[in-house]
Amino acid sequence: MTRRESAIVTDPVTVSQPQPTRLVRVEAFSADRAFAKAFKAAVGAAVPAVGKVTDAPAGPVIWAEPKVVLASGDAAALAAALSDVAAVSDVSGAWRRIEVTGAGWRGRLMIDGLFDAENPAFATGCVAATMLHHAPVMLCPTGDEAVSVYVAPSFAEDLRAALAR
Amino acid sequence: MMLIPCPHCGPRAHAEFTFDRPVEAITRPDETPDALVRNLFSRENPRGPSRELWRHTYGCRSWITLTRDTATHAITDVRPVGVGA
Amino acid sequence: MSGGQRLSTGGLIDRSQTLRFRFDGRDYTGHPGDTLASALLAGGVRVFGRSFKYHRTRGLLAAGVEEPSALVGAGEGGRFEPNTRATDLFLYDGLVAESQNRWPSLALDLGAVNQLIAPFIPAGFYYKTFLGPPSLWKLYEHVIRAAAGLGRPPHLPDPDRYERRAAFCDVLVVGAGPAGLSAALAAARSGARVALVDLDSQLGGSLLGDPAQIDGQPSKDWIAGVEAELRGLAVRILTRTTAIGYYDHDMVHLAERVTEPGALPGPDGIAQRMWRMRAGRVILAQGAIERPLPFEDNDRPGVMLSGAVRTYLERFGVAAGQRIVLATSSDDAYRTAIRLCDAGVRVEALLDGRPADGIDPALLRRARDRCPVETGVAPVRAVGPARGVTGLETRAAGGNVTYMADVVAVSGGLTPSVHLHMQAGGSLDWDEGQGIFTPKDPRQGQVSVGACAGRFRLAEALADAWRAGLVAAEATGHRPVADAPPRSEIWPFADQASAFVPAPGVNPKKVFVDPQNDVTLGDLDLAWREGYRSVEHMKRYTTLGMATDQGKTSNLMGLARLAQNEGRPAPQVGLTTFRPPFTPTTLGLWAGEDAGFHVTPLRRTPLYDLHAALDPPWQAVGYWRRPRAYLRSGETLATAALREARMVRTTVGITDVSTLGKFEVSGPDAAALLERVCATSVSKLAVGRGRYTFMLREDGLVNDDGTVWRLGEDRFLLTSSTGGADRMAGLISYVRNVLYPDLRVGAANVQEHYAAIAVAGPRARAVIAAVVEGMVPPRHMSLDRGVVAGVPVLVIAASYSGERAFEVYAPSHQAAAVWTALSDAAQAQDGGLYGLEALEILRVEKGHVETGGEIDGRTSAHDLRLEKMLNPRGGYMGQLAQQRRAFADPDRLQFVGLESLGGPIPEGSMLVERPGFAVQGHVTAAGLRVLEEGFIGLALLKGGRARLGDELLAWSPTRTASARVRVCEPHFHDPAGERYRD
Repeated sequence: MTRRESAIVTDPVTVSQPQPTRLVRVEAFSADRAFAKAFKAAVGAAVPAVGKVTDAPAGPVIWAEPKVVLASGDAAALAAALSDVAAVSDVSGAWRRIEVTGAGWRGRLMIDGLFDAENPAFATGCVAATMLHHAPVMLCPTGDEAVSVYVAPSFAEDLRAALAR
Repeated sequence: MMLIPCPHCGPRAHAEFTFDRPVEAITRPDETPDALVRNLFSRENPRGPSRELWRHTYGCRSWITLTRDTATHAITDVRPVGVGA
Repeated sequence: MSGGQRLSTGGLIDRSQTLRFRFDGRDYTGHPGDTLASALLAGGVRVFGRSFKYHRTRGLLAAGVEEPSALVGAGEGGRFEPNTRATDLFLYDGLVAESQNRWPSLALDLGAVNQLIAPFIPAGFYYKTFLGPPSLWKLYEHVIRAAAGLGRPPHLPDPDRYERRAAFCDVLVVGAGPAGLSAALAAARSGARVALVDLDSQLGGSLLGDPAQIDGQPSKDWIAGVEAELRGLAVRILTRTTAIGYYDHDMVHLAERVTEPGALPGPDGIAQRMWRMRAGRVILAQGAIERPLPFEDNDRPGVMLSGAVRTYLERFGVAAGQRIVLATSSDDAYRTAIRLCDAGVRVEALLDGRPADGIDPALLRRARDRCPVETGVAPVRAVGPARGVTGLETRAAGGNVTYMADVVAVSGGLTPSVHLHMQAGGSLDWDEGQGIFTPKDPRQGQVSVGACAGRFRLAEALADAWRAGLVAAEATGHRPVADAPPRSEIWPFADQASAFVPAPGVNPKKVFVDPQNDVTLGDLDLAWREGYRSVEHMKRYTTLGMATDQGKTSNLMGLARLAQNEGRPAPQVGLTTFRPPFTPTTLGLWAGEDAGFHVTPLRRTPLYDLHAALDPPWQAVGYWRRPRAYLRSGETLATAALREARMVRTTVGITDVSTLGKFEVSGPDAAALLERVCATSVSKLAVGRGRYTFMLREDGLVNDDGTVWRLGEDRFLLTSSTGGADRMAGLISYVRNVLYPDLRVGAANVQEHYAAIAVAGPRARAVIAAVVEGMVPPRHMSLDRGVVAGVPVLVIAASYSGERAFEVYAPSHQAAAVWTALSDAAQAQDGGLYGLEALEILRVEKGHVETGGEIDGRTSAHDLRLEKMLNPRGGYMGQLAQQRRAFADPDRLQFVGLESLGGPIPEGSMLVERPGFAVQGHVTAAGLRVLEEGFIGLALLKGGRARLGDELLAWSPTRTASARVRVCEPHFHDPAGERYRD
C-alpha cells in the first residue's frame, strides 16, 4: 500500500464538550443613540458593529441580526434595564458553546462547512453565523489558536463528535 | 452553488439562504381575495432578470431582495428589506 | 516477439525500489512512479479488457485519464473500485486488480460470440428487439442484466471515509503543466491567494512526457524550482486532484484521491476528499487530448496514441512495443518517432497523411535522419489477431502497403480540453483546418491558457499563461509583478490537420470511434439514415460518448461524421452538453460523512440521554428522535402504548414535549404582532392566562396550531407544533420583518431554550404540588412560575390528552433534574413515563387536530371546526383569503370522528360507500377507546359536518383491511372538558 502525502496540514485540535451559555437576546426597537446609550449602561460594553463581538464584564456581546445582539448575563435584569428601548429574552438554553483550540482550528472549520474560516481577516472580534456539519452555528475566534462555536443544544452532540473526528 | 452577497455578512454560500418568493408575490393581508390569489399563484417566471425575496436564514436571518438572472444566475442589486433596511 | 518492455534507463520512476502487484491472478513487478498501465505494459501485457458490446479485445490506447479501454477493477472487498482506468492508478505494493467484462477469462471470453452476430446488434438495436412476446420480458431482463455494464460493483459496505471541505482562493489554477505553473507563479508572486490543482501525482503536466528546456534548465529542474517557490508563497498545491465540475459563481469541485484505488488509507481513514473551492478567478490549463485516426480495426490491442507512446517512453521508461509504426496527421507524432529512435526502439516508419508540401521541411529532415518517413499516406486497416496488431495496411498513391509492427502509434492531432470552460457556460470558436474547438467567451470568471486554449507551442503557452496569471491577480485586488514570464526553446512544429475522414474504400462499419461502447462510423451513419440527426439524438441513439470516458477521444470524430453527413460545418451541428464530473467519481465522495447512521443529522432533545438509558424504540420526527413508548419486559409496542395511555387516564404520566415550537414575543407591539400571525384574538388575555390558538397561511388555509400565554403586560409565549416549528419561525420572521418592520417588538425563537415536560392525568396536580416550590398548581389555562430542584420553571396548565395537565418549561441545560424530580413524583403516584404512541392515542380520543394529520395544508378553519375562534376584529394573515369561493364549497373535506362498527380502523384508509366506489375522504388517525372497548378514528370527509350518523366503509385495498364506520362528532372522551376545567 502507498500513502500519498496529503496536502492538508493536519495540525491537532482539541474539542471541548458543549458548555452552557448565559446568552440574552436583545432586539432594539430602533437602532438609535438612545438604545446604544442604554445598552452600554446596562451591559458595560458598546453595541457591536455588524459581524463583530465586543467584550463585556458578564461575557461576550455578539452581533446576531440587524437590530439584534446577544449579550451575556441575567435576562431579567437586562429586561428591566432595557425595556424602554428593546425586547429582551432569555435564550441561555438555546445555545451551547464548543471550544475548539489548537493551531488547526481554521482548517477544522472548513470540513463540511460553508464559510471561509481560513481567511486571516476572520479573527478575534469577528463573528460569522453559518452552517457547519448541517448545524446552524455562530463562529467566534477568541485567539490565534482558539474559536468558540455556538450551536443549538439539539445539534451539539453531533457537531462535537464531527469536529473531534 | 451560488454565491449571494448579503448586505450584512458579505458574500455567502447559497446553502445559508432560503428563497422565499418573487417580489411580486408579496401579499398584504388587506388585499382582496382575487388580487391575493393572482399575486400568490400567477407568476411571471421570466427567462432573465427576476426580482426575488430571499432570507439569509442561517446567517444574519435578515431578509433581502435581489435580482437574479434565471438563465445565468447572475445576482445583482441586493438590498436589505424591512428591519434590516 | 511482441509487446512492451522496460528499458534499462530513463523515466521518472524510482528504479531503486520494486513494487509487487497482481493482475488477473498473475504476479508482476513495477516501480514507484509507475501507473498500473505502465507496469503492465512493461510486463508485456497487450490485452487489458474486453469491449462493452462485441467483447472485442482491448489494449491500452492512452497514458492519461482519457483512456477508454484499459479499465480494471482495483482492490478487494468493500474497497473494490470497478471501471478504474489503469492509466489513472499509481502503483502500490500489494495492489490487486482484475480485468472486466469477460467470462470466464480475458483470453477466453464467451462474450466474444457477440462478434458473430455483430450485424444484428448495431447501434440502437435494442429499440427494435426484445419487443415480444411480453411473457418473455422477464427472461430478456435477466439476459440484459447479465450483459449490461462493464465492471461489477462491490457488495460490501465501503470501509473508508470520505471528507468534504470548503475552500476559498483568489485564483484557482486547474492544471499544473507548463501553462498552469506559469500562471500560478505570476498570480502568487503578485500576492494573490492561489490554489493549484492537478490530477497527476506530480506537477509538470505535459512536460512529464515531453521534457524541454525552460529558463535555461531542464524542465524537471524548472518544475522543482517553481514548486518550491509556490509553496514558499503559501500556494495550496493539490496533486491527484481533479477539477470535476465548474458550478455557479466560480465554484469548482475538486476530487482529491488521497488514497489510490483499492489501497488502504492512512491513519485518518480517508480515501478521497471533495473540495468545494470558491475562486475569484479560475485559470483553466487543462491541456489537450490527442485523438486517434479512423481506419478498420483501429480498436485492436497495440493501436495507441502517439503522445501516449512518448509518455510511456519518457516518463515510465517503457518501450510500448518492439516494432513501432506511426500514422499521423499532426507534427506531434514526429516528436514521438524522434524520441523512440534516440532511445533505440525500432521504428518501422512514420506515415504522415498530409502531403509533403504541407509539412515543415526542417521537421521532415529531423525525422528522416532517424527513420523512414512517407507523406500522403493514410492508414486503411490494422492487421492482426485478437491478441494484438501485427501490422498496419496503408494506402498511398502507388497502392497499398502493409508495415509490420506490434504497436501502431496514431495521432489525429490534439483536441483542446474545453470541458470546464463549457460547464461554466462559455462559448467556442471552431478552426476547420485543425479540426478543433477553442474557448471563446467565458461567462464566469474563467480564462483558458496553454493547450486547452489551442496554444500548442510551449513558448507561447508559457507567456500567455503568465499574462493570464497577472490579470487574474489584478482582478482580485493585487498588484501584478513586473517580472518576465518563463522562456523556453521554441519547438516550432505544432501544426495539425483534421483527419476525421477515413481513406477511400475503408469500411465505416469496421472503424471504431468510441472503443468503450463499441460505436463505429457505420453506427453513426445508421443513426443519421434513421433520422437521428441532431447531435444530442446521435449521441443517445448510438451511445457515442456515453461511456465512462465520456467520449474524450471520440466525440469530435463523431461530430465530424455527423457534419459530413449533414453537409454542414461542425459548429452548426453543435456539441453535446458538457456535464460534471469530468472523470468518474465514486459515490462516497459526494456523500462525505453523510453515510450510514449520519445520513441525516440527529437532533436530540435536552432529555435524550435520560430516554436513551431506558432504550425505548425511537420515532424519527424530522431530524428529532422521540421515544415511542417505554416498554416493560414482555410488552410489545402496542401493549406498552395502551398501558401508558391508561396510566394517563387513571393516574398520571409525564412525557417529553421539548420539541414543540416556542416563541417569546415581547415589546409594546407584542399583542399586535401576535394578532397578525394568529387567527384568534390574543390581546384580550389577562396576564397569567393563556388560550388555544391557530395560524393561517396567506391563502387562508390552516398552517399550524398551538397555544399563547401572556407572561406579562408586554410579553407572550407562543407555542406551536414540532413539525411546524421551523415553518412557524419563518412565518413570524416574515410577518415581523417584511410586512411590519416598524412594530416595536422582538420575537425570540425559544424552542431550544426551553425543555418542556407534560404532566397529565387525574393525579397531575398532586405531582406538580409535590415537586414545584413557590406556587400552587395553576388552574386550567393559567400559568405561574416556580422552582424545581433549584431550577426556575414556568408551569402552564393546558391539556392535550384530555386529562388535567400541565407543561413544565425549564431551561434546557437544567432540565434533567426537573425530569427526574417529576418522574419520581409520578411514580410515587402510581404513574410513570409515556411516549409518542400513547400521546397519539390520547389526543385521538380527545379529538384534537394535529399538524400533519388534520391540518394538512388543505383544510380551513371552518373545515376543522375552529371557525368560532376566529378573531372577529380580523387583520390576521389569511383572513380575507378565507372569502375565496372555494372555501364555501359544501363538499370540502371536513373534520369528523369515526366510530368503528367492528374492528380497528385502518389509518390512512379511504372512506367509501362500498369498495371501488368514489372516495369521499380518508382516515387521518386511527385509535381506540382507552378505558372502554371500541375502535375510533379521526377523518376528513367531504361535507362531513353535515353527515353525522352516516355509515361508510374505511377501506384499504393495499393492506386488505377495512372497517365499517359511523360518522360522529370528533370527541370521544369528556367532550365538555370536565376533567380539567375549574
